[in-house]
Amino acid sequence: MQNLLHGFSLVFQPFTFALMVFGTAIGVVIGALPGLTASMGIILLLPMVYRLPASVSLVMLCGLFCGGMYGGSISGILLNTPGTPSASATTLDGFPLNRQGKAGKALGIATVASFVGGLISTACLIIIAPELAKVALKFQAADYFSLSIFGLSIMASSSGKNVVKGLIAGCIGLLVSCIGIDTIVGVNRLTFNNMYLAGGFSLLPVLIGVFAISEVLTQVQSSYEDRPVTIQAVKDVLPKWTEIKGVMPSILVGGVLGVFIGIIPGTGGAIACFLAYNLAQKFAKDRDQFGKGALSGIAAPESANNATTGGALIPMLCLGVPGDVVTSVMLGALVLIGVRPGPLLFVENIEVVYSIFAGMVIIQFLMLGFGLLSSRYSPAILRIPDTLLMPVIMVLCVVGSFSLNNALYDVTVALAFGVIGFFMKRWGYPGAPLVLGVILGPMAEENLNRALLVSNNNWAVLVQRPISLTFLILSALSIALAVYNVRKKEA
Amino acid sequence: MKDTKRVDIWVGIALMALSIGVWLMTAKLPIPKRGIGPGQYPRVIAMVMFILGGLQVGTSVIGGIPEKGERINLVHLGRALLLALIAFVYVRLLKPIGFPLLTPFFLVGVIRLFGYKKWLTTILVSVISTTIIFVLFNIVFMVFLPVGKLF
Repeated sequence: MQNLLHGFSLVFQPFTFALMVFGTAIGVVIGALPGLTASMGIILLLPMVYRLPASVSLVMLCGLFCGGMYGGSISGILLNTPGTPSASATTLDGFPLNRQGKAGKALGIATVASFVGGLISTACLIIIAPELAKVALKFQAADYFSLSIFGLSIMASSSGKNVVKGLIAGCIGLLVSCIGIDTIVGVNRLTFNNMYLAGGFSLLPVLIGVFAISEVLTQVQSSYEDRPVTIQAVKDVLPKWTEIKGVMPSILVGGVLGVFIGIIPGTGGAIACFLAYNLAQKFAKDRDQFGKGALSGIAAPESANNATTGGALIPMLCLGVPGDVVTSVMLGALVLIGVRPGPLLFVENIEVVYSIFAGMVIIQFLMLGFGLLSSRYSPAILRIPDTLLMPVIMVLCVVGSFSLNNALYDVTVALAFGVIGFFMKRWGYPGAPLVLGVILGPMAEENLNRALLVSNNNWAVLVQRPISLTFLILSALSIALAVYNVRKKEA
Repeated sequence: MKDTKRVDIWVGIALMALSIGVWLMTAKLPIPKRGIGPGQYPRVIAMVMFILGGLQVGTSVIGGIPEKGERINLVHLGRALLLALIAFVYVRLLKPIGFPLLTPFFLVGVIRLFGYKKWLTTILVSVISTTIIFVLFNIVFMVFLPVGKLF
């Protein structure tokens, strides 16, 4: 409790608070704009914040994460185009309400549901994360190696339609992490005697390339087909108490479900919103209204997708395994900021952890405030054309990758990974496992080396320790399940 | 979804070739008595990649070499590749010409490539965003963007 109060005192410091407000506001705007995602927002902001103290920058990025998750609902309701995949289910009832001239009511309920869902997930984060970290402190080198494999396999098996393509992307990421001077013996590895390659690839240019530049290259292909800009005016955003009371069961169900979906690595908001929608429809009194503009049909998925934020942070902070694509980018951000995620974070950087906890509480209130006060201006945001936005993002990508070492080499690396990411996307290879491979590669190698040193080169150590064996079995199961699901769909 | 089976076969073959390349390149790296050496770890990855590449080729070929998928929209692809090329050239020219002078031209070009038609807005957005980014990074974040050899 004392740690949490200290966390609150840190996030209420003027500079931190101002950045948190800025991060949340930018997150809402980015989430609202179709084509821009929270992960892209985090990547674009990262070059500006990674030199700041960890607690300050991470709280800001958390604001962007939560704001982005909520912002997706705005374009979902007003344009029938979800800003993020997590808002896909919200459009099912949000857009029909908009067509009935009740866009304000739909946005109001979405905001309240996101707020409650976010609070539920933050409460779970504060309660569960420290306990899980205590368990994870018992992990040894072999367990960490298997955990890296588990993280990679779960991301590979869940982020694309073809599990082999996901695994290939993950392996390429691991291979990229090998390039440079080896940290164990100190020899050049896969560098072709190139002095630039000897330093390996920095994480930031890889992140910027795979997630942001590849997106700009993808968008330029179809940029001539502009999105429709006939957006209705938004009024009466503040929902009535009776309306809130009516949808509260759906909000609570969505919130709890969202937390659990968020905790499972490789899932995320897109799955949670549809599960919550289906569950709310099953138990709702007005189930006939679902799909025609039911308020519960907005409340449940919005509560669920925002609840995944806190849930996804639990495995990321405690184990260093991301819950979804956005948290894999957050994981990269943590590494770049100089904070090593995992159980030791709760021992070595307790201040950072509790700043995140306190920040997550405040962010929910900020999100509620932004949602209710600024919804009437959201049509103006949605009128910003991609054709102007994307070129500016391209320049920000260039400047962002340059800012790491003040070197144009990093920009070239980012562009090269952008082209690679573009073709990967085009051919159905997910980018997230590649980035995760680059992040987890050094951790996997270091821990495998340590495990083999301790066990006198006995590879069986990986299956002799129960925790390690469990992670390896889970990795195999996640891949087998993904293959089974694909086969089932094909049949 | 667009059929990518033919591409998958080529990617699989390229992956297998890359794995062999990694295996050969790491052959001469030192092997320690205990622990994993600098060569062993990439070799394990290369081995897995070879198997995955083979799997990719195998699963794509099963049932015969697939028919050609839908025609690639060369205009769309060309636009993306042109943007990549412009970006590479822009980065090459950043040092001699400088960020403040080059970026507005880059932005005008890219905005036009994206298909935006209004010239005045294009120029205004290009100049204003260049100024904001330059001031923000140079003064607030102390990231000194290249100013070129003219200044």
